[in-house]
Amino acid sequence: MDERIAKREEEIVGLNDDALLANFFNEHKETIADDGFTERVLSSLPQFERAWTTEHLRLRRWRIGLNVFGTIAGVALMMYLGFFSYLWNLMQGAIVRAVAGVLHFDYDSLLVNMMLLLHRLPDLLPSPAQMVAIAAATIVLMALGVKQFARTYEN
Amino acid sequence: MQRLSDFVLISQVVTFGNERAFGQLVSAHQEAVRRFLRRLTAGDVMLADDLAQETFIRAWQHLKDFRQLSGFETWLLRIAYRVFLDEKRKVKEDSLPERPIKEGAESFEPKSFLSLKDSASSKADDRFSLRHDLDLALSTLSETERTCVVLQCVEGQSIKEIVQITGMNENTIKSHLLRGKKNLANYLRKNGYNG
Repeated sequence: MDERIAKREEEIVGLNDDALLANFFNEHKETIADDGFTERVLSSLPQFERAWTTEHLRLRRWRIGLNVFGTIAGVALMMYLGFFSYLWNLMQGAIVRAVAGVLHFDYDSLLVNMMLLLHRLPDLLPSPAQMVAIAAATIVLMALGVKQFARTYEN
Repeated sequence: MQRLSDFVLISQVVTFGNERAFGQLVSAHQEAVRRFLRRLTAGDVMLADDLAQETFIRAWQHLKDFRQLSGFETWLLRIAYRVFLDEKRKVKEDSLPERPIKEGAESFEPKSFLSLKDSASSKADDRFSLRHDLDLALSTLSETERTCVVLQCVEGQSIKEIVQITGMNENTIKSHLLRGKKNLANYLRKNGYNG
């Protein structure tokens, strides 16, 4: 019982302490005007090139380059495989049918087109020789990227 | 909202090295950083401002490493704390205030708090006295207690954020806070401050 009372008293004292300190810090709140501090900091900043190392910039260029190359290669591959023209024809057909049919959407033809697409999918895939070439190019690019990362973090 | 605008400004700095965006970040957070360092250095304004400047320079150099896991201000306060510890390591131990007025605290006149409310001195004097009282009171704590109490009571940081700033264990921080707040409250009462 005594222990509980002592604990409760301690809690009350703790709460009182918190209230007292809250008042104290509130009364002693200090606001600091900039007074040219920002200007002083900006005038003493090291140059951009020194702050951002050339390694960092080179890594950034590599990342951007690889992303751009990957995107272009992906789009080119899809174009080569005739995917976009097939998709465009499919969409065009659907739009024409939707407009012509006025409020009547031709679900049968959509279904047929989807089945046709699935049926033609194996033809759209690259040949084994093309697959090997793409895989080799990917591996080379990945190896170059990993090497570049390793060199950067070593430094 | 602050976090979002910080994010936009940080992106501009990281991507383009935009100094004006960094200037806006400095301007938005200089107060918290300078105030924190003033409390750590027991009110040495010049030293605190030098350390704050060093803090922002380090922030500029390492902004690319900021992962947005914590708030930007918490990250800045962490750097400020490191800068303070580095500075402390550089100079001799007794040149920085580690309980500098421990003995003086005994003779600290209770009038000093009361006089603040009653005196008709100029505003600048009041500001100085307020700061002086605050630093006197805080200087009765150990450095770690002072750091934790300032971060929580002055800068409004949560215990988790104090963990990130100081690198101390959560339970250690809780016990520092408990002890520090108790000592500070006792000291204030002893000197005639009753809220």
